[in-house]
Amino acid sequence: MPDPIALDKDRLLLLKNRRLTQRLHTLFSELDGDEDLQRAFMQSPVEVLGLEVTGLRLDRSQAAAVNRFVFAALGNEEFRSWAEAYDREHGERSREEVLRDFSEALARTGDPALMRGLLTMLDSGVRLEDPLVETIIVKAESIAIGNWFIYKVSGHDDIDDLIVSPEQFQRISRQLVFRAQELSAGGEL
Amino acid sequence: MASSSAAPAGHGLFHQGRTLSMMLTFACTAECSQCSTLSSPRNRDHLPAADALRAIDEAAELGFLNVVFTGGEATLRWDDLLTCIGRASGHGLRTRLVTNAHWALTPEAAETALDRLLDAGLDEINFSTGDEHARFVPLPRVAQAAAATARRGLTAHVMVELRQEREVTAARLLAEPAIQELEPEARALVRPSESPWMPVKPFKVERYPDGVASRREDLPKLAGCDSVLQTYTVQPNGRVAACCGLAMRLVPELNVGEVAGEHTLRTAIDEAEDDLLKLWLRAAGPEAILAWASDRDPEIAWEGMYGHRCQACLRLYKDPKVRAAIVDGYEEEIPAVVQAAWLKDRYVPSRLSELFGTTNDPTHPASLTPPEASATTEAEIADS
Repeated sequence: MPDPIALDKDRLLLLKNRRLTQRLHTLFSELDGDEDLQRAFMQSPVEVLGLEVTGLRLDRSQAAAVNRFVFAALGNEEFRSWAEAYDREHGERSREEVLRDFSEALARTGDPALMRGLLTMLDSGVRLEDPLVETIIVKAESIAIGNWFIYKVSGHDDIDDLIVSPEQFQRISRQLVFRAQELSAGGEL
Repeated sequence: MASSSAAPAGHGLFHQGRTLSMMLTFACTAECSQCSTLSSPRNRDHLPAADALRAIDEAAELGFLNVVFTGGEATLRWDDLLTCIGRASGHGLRTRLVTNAHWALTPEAAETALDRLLDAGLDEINFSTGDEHARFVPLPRVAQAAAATARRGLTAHVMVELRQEREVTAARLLAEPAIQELEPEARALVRPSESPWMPVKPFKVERYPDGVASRREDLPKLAGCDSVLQTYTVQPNGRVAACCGLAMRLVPELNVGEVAGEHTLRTAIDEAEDDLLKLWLRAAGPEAILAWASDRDPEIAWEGMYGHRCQACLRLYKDPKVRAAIVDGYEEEIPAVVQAAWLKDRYVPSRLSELFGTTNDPTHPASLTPPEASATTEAEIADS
């Protein structure tokens, strides 16, 4: 885990962790020449990065299952809106409350793709009670969007629709939500 | 996972298309209110030419893409400027000058100065103007310089200060006689754009036209910061900043090294890339981080306050509440930040390059960075 950093008014705001950044140098170098690792990182940066850096613990199939669920969630406007608002408005809720609210929101959508994603995730052994799952589902939207984007780019799937101009590139994560909704509407998620 | 050694020191995480921004002096012919580089006629600090040349040489070794001469008013160090442009050009680095055009006293003077700059190897020239600059450099002089540039077939980018109440506008520049007298083809090369003029205080709110100051709903349209970890600015005092540098003199965290003595650009890059906050700024941008911080601490108000993202960045570094939120919660953002960084700066450029023959060279027809976007950063408006 990164070293804890405590600041006082005279300290510089620098988030330095030599072990992490050294790890990133190594990871990026490995990624440059390892397509399998690229694929894994596309599918699940949480898994690739997390095991050695953040302390998160998911195996590859679990991480992929969580990601798949999040992709499905991205395609569901109601659930996405709920997740965004929930994280913003209910940051202090207990784990039990989060799980209850999450389940209710999921049920309200009645989305088969979401349900399939949830079942796959549960089949993989992921427990909803795990705080990590809450973090991933509710807070790590950008990871899933990034995954989704890069999967599509690398997978040569609908590539003509996805290549974006440079000035749009940094904006892509939010905009891709709408594309995810289109795919969901077309039953492609 | 295959084992591999760490990348060589100085190579860096983001080694494609870096820019060396060179501030030869903090001296300026103008003394604009709220100058974000704190330049003025009374500040005579300047970078020794030997240090500047050494930094240019090292930038070339490290594969930098271009060198931007800004300031202060770089032309006040005229001989050093020409020497440095020549050195950079000799290395094959593209060169750009950001200037307030004070030297364009007459059409003939503008032509002469431009010819000398171009002869030295200058590739691009950008002008700064607006209500603040025009108090010291009249708008007709800027128009004269822009016209001379356009007559030479070069695009004259003119950054115009943007505030709610202003006299100097892009339209007014284009209406100047020196521009109007140009042939249509040359006139089309004069391209003014308006950029928010920012206060250099984190909580001071400038008035802008509607829609300029960022709000939460604007976040999907906002990019990460393209300057941090991409542009390294060498200042007259020898310090190196890890971005193009508005307010960098007020934010010690943005200063990551020196070019004097044994210090090198390489070590400055390593120092900068060791800071996860800079990675985060690059991936998400300061407004998104402020929004994230305000989710954690509702007392953090930011919406509608910042038209210029460098002021939002200044807020991020100076507000104790934002600082506390970042320190408390940054760890959960690490995977997303790292993935975004990899996507933006490593994977997608290489992938697009393979697929479409794109390049980070902004002059290349298939560039990832169009010349328009690369010509002048928003930050550069206040530099001269």
